[in-house]
Amino acid sequence: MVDRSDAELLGAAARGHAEAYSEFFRRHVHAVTRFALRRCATPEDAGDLVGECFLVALEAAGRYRPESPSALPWLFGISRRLVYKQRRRFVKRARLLAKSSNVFPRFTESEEEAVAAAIDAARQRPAIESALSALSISEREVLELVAYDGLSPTEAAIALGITPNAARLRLSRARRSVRAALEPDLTATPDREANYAT
Amino acid sequence: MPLEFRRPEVPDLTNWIEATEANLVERVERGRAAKRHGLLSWPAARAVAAVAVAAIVMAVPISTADRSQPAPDVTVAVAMPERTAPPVDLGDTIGQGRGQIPLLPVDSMHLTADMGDFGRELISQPASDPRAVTTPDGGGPTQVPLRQGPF
Repeated sequence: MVDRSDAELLGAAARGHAEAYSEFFRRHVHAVTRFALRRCATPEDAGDLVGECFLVALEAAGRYRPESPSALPWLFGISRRLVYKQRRRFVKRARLLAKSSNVFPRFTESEEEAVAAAIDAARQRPAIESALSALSISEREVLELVAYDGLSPTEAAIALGITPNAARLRLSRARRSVRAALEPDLTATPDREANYAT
Repeated sequence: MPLEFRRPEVPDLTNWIEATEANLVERVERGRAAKRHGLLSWPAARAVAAVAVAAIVMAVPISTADRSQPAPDVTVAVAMPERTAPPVDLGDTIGQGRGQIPLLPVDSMHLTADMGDFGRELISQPASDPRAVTTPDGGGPTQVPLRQGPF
C-alpha cells in the first residue's frame, strides 16, 4: 500500500476522516517534539506546544497548500509562532497553565522526567549555546532549523516565511559567526560542521 | 574539533502520544458530527460574518451620506420587478475613495430590497441576470443618483 502524502492526509482530515489525522500525527509527532525540546523551558511547555501545534494544523488542514513534499516545514512554522506566543505569555503562566491543563493530555510522571532530562541534555553544550546566543534571532532560527531539525535551507525558508535565498544568506552568516566564536578549534575546513546542514 | 549539532533525543513517550492522538481524533470526530448536525464550521462562520460586515460597511456611507452634496461616485440602479419592491443593484464604485475595504465583489452581488431592511437578504445572483434588471415594461435598469434612491 502506497503511503498517502501529507497533503492527502490533511485534505482527508479536513473532511472529517479521523484516521487520516492519526496517521499524519504519528508521522510527525517525534519531529515536532524534538523541535519543542530544543525550545521549551519545561516539559509542560513542550507538551502544550506539540498539542497546540497539531490542533492548529487540524484547524488549518483544509487550507493547507503544499510547498514541499513534507508538511514538516509548515508544522515547524506553526510551532515557531507558538513558541513566541508561549514566551509572550510567560507572565501569565500560572493562569494559562491552569487553563490549558484540561486541553491537552499530560505526560505521565516517568515521561515528564524523561522530557525534563531531554531538555537539559539539549542545553548541555555551553560553548555552542554561547555562540548561538550571540547570533541575531533571524540567523539563529535558520541555523537551528537546519542543524537541529534537519530541514534543508529551502524548507527552513518555508517554515520562516522567507525566501530561500534569504535563508541561505542567513545560514551562511550564522555558520561563519558560530565558527568564529568557537575559534581556534574550527578554523580549517569550511562547512564541516554542517553534519545535518544539507 | 568539528562543530557538532546533535539533535535532541526524543524519549519514549508512548502513553502521552497515544493520549494526544486520541484527543485529536476526538476533535476531528466532534467537528464531523457538528457538520452533520448543520452547525457552521469556523471558515463558514467567518464567511457569514464577512457578509454581515460587508452589508454594514456598504450601508453606513449610504445612510450617513451628506444628502446636500452629490455623490458622484455612487449610483444605484433600480429596476422594477413584477412583484413587491425593486431589487437594487449596487454599482461597482461603491466604497471607492472612501478608504473602505472592498470585502465583497460588489458587481456580482445582488441585494433584493424588500426594502424594509437594507441588506436583509443577500443573493448571489449576477447583476447581468435579466430577471433582476428587466422592468415590467421590458426596459432595463434605471440609473438614479443615490440621493434620489430609496434610502
